[in-house]
Amino acid sequence: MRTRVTGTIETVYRDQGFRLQRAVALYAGSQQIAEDAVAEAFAQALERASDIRDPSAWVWRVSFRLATRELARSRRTMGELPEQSVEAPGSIRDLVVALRSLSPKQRASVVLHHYAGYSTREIAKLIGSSAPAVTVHLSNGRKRLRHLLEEHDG
Amino acid sequence: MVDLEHRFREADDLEVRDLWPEIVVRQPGSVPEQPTRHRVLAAVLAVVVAGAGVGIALWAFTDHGQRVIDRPKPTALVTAGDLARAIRQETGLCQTVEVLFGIAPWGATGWLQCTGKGSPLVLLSYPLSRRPSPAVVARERMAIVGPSWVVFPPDLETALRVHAVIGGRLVAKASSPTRESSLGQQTVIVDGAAFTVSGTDSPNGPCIGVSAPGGSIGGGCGRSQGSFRVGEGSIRVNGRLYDVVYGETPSGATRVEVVMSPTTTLSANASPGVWLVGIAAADEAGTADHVTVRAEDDAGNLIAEVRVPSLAAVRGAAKNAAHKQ
Repeated sequence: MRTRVTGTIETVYRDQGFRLQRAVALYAGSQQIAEDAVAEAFAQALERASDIRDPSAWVWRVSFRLATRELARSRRTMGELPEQSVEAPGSIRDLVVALRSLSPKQRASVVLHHYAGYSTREIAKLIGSSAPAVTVHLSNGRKRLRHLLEEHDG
Repeated sequence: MVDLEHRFREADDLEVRDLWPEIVVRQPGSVPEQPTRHRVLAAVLAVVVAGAGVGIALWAFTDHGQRVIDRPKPTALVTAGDLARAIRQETGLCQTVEVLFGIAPWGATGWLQCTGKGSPLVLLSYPLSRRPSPAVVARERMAIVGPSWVVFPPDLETALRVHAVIGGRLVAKASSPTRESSLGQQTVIVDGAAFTVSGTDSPNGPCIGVSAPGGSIGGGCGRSQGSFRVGEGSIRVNGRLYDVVYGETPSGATRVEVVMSPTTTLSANASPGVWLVGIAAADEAGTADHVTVRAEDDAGNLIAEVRVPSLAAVRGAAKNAAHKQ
């Protein structure tokens, strides 16, 4: 039974784990936070697999939530977001730096939509918001992100 | 105009590592809840607790007559401590090759043993924690002994007895005072190699360790929160790696079984007070890895049960971490 459950979660990991890790890294601006959040989410999923109806949505939701919690903890203890720590080519680093200027909801909406390909309704479920609110986050986030990147590139 | 789709597509080049070996051995914490759901849960919990209080009060004043317990329940279901997440070393202590590890029976301390360049065997001891920090291996607490060294974690709560062994020769030793053994000792032969588990008392609690011609694991002292003390680790003997699971026999138990798979169970003699099971190490897929340790009494009743982390999976994670360095 456990083997079957582990197999299902492992399939989700093999299918989406790397993409999820990148999405959380973009959102958190830290590969370490992303690794920790994703590993914790999947470990949780293994633990309670029989209670989870949609493991894929569950790990995305929990990973982002864990990363949010970690970012909030850093903000509380250090008064600011942890330093950007994504090892990547320059253009991706620029994107990560620009994303950090967005609000957490804007950032999550933009990453989940533009990188992970989720719809506004799906994003609303993942981040615990409403579809109209996500539409606003997306629109404002996109506008701000474009402005920041243009400013940087220009 | 910035093409966001293109910029985000580039993020696919972001290098990420395979976390699965870490995931399967990770001890998960709690899932953070959404604030609103949290409040609802708190309210539901309050109602349940209030209801339970009333129920217990009613039950306490009711005559239940004679009750029969037909089978003892496990006294403990605890994991043998958190895993050696310090494998992701930023201090460059383990240079490459191989990282072994152990989990002390009380779940409070663990250690890493790794071979570096020039083949010194390094023994690194630290408290197990979910988020180990490089700070636990502060340089000022490091004793350098020849090509090997021992690290004493600054915030170690339990007393330690640490041996650093190179090629079977003891090169460093640091121990807390111990009293006469009260837990016993036994030697188990696996493929011609002798593994000895022994337990002694100390002011800081019992010390249980395993020694073999190639080195030793465990040996630290501490008190467990759970009643079933189980440790595990790996020792290389004659060029071959062996996994051992060992511990103190719970009160009332006469037999300890290590369940490897639904069809494979290894039995240990538990009567000397300490027990040990050794087996040639499995590959990283964990095809012959330990899963559960059970202690039973004479009648076959389950006294205690503990799930142990997969040594093979941790070795895999350690190898990945070492390659990444």
